[in-house]
Amino acid sequence: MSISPTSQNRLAQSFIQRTAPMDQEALLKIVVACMVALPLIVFVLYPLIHILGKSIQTPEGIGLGNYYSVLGNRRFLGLVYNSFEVTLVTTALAVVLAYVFAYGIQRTKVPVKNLFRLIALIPLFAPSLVQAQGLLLLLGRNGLVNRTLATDFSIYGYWGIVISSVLYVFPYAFLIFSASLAMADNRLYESSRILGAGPWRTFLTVTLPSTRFATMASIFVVFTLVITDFGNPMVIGGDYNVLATEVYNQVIGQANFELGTVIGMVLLLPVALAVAAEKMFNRNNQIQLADHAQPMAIMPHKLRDVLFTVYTVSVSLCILAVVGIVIFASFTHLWPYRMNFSLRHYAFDVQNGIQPLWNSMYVGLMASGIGVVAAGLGAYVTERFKTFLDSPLYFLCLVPAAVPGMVLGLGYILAFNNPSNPVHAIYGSLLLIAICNVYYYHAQGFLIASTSMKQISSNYDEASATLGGTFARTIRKVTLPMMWPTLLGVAVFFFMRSMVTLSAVIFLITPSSQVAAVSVLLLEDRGAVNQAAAFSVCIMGMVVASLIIARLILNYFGYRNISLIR
Amino acid sequence: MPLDIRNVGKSFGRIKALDDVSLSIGTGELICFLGPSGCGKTTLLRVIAGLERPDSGTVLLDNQDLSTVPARKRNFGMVFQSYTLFPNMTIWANIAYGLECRKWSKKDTALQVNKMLSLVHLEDQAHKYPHQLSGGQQQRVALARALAPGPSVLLLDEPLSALDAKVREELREEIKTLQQRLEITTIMVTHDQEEALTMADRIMVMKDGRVMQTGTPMEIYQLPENPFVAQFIGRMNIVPADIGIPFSSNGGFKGPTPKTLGIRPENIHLLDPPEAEETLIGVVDRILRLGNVTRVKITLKKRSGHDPITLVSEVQGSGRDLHIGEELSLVIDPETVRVLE
Ligand SMILES: Nc1ncnc2c1ncn2[C@@H]1O[C@H](COP(=O)(O)OP(=O)(O)OP(=O)(O)O)[C@@H](O)[C@H]1O
Ligand SMILES: [Mg+2]
Repeated sequence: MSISPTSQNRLAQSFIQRTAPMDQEALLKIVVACMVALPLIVFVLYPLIHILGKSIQTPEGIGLGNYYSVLGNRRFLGLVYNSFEVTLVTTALAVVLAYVFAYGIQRTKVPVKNLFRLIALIPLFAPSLVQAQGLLLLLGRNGLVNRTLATDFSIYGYWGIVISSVLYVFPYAFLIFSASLAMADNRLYESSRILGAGPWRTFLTVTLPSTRFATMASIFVVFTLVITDFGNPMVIGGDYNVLATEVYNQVIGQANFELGTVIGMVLLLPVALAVAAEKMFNRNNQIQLADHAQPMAIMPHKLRDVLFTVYTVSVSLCILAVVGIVIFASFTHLWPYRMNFSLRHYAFDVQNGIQPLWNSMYVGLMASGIGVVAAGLGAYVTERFKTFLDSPLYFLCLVPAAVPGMVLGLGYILAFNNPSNPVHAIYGSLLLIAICNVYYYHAQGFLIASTSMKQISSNYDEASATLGGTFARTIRKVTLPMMWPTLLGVAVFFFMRSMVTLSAVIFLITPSSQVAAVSVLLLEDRGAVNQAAAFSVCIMGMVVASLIIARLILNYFGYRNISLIR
Repeated sequence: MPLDIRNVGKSFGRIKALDDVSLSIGTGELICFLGPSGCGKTTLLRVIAGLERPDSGTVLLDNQDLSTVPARKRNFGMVFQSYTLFPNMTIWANIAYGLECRKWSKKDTALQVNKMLSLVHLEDQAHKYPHQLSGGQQQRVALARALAPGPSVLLLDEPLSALDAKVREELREEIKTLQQRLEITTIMVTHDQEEALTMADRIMVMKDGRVMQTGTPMEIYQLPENPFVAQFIGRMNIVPADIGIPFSSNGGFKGPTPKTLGIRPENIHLLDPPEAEETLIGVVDRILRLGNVTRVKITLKKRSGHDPITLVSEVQGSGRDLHIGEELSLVIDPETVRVLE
């Protein structure tokens, strides 16, 4: 026999003797956990502390003076009111519209579902202010409707913000509801039917309760997105100001950092509460399907199917119209006066030329690279290490979700625009913009990675360890080969969001490091709608291209069921 | 190599998964951890493997404390319940993995992998991927992978429970043969008592994180030390000591007065109605024909001061001459009656 007991002895002996008296493995784990925590502290907590510090800094020293002067100010209270008015109305509309849409896709016999699903997700591929941009082209003073019907109404203001915001958040709510409605135990529905319940009653007693966590989650997600969004209100708000635009005006317009930070802090509070609530509901949202749950069988129902088809088509047309008009406008000679076809706006004959597009791509690529490592390591450490640092680190990884992008960006100025801070070396560079995006979207990226890590049994790592595999070898040979499709998804996620985001980076750009989404905002602000539209179209093109490439790679290797759009 | 587990304790929150567990395992011995679900078998195995840190106690290999030796340096081979073959590697690469970790030369690796493949009769599957193999084949590969680096101890966590009955029996034989050929100290977790009784040199029965009894299969089966073991291993009739069943004071029971007795069903013999007064008489309640044995449920004739007592007897053959409602006498050899409490 090849393995004699004596040779076993020798082998084991030598293995044991090489071990130091201390458990190095445990030590190494703690070191790695700290290495994961460090950038989160530097790039999330540290800027937040600066914001807080600035907001209590008054000419008379440390104090709440700034808060008193802001909170006692009627104009400011008006802004708070405006923000909540817009946010609450938008949230209600978007949640209901998205619920019905998702219901139509998941629970009725609407035709060409995949097409409608894709259309619902289009707003995710575009810069976050594309809705306002499209709406203005359609319904603005110089919009298509006013021009063709010779009317003279204006969409600027409250309703403009609400409509564009609903379109902006629609895909987020749709994704949550769609996932929740996809899970159903057919037996519940059958027994409900057998008990004589009609469809409406079944909906109220079975469907609605089973989606209550998703409803709560989407309410909080949508609330957070709308109250922190500033691209759409900036473009279409007119005189109707909200908190997010006020931060921008105070900081960029008047260089009043103290007031900017105070308003930022005021914005932080409801967002933090909403995120905390969302996480709480999400924890209960580990949908418990019974062991023998049967998939949903959708019975045809003529009237219902016709109604839902009409509804999905209408919503899809709205989304397509808003995005389509932007694409259309980018190809006109001079909107709305000379509507003939022209490619001249794709020459990017504007300040900085085509550079912002390249910048966006560099930022996107850097962010996806850094983001994969940061979120992937964070997930690996919290899921696998089993050290006492797990819970604090998990919490730290999720903190960015509660920080509005503008607040984070403002924190970066305050924290890093200071030659004595080592990070100042990259201040004003594309790298810092990429880092800012990574940590702004860290929580979502981290959750994607950590969810899929949960699904891969930790026994694989343990099998490798018992076979003598070191940490590095286990990660390289076992974990990464199993995780890469998910990590590719995480990379695409960071790339996508970096390409379209506005709020986190708006304070960090310099003329040479301008990114395309900001170009859209600035051009729109100057009335250069054609060029703004062309930039938007290019951003969408790049996002879609990245999705197609990633999809092709995944399909080539046989991973068809990894979803890329989140 | 001899393995010593000394007073190991481990809690998960409020759950005491292991409570003061001690066990000595000799070189080349095959030990089974047996117990109901959740009794801490896997946890103990993981503590031994170094995958879980015990809260208290130590594990010693050849008298060396392993507390500070991480899993990858213990040189233990482990087979998990759910195969856990690396899905991105071929069978060959899976088996070679541990050797590569130990920096074996290409030549030695090839030699050893081939040896392992033939040991588990999978020579022709080397270049397939795990998902292309059947469950039984996958578990054989897992075994080969664990054995390839020449581990000092082999740890098997319910290696057969995911397989169907026929494959399970085949593999049982195979594992036992391999283990004896390699003379490798082996611990196998199972909740299947038949598996434990047929394979183990010794069995450790566990419940709620505690050791209930450790002994050879014979000892565990014939001389259970408490009602839990008695009922968990095979079936044992558990009855009060004062109902007239004869018992001898064998098995080293040292308590004051015996309170509870255990009798194996096959040790209760049934005869036609007796003449003698002192024999036990019962009425047949139910007859379960299991092919070569027949299980008979009998209620003892009521005696004052006792609730009716039901016993199970197993008789060889088809039990054709038994009828429900029939009165029979029960004959029990006092030597086969076990005092449990
Ligand atoms: N990582 C863990 N976290 C919390 N509790 C755990 C963990 N691992 C085990 N437990 C608990 O410890 C107890 C013992 O678990 P263990 O897995 O060792 O049981 P087992 O005997 O292997 O059971 P089974 O036969 O079901 O595999 C159980 O109550 C289990 O719920
Ligand atoms: Mg177990």
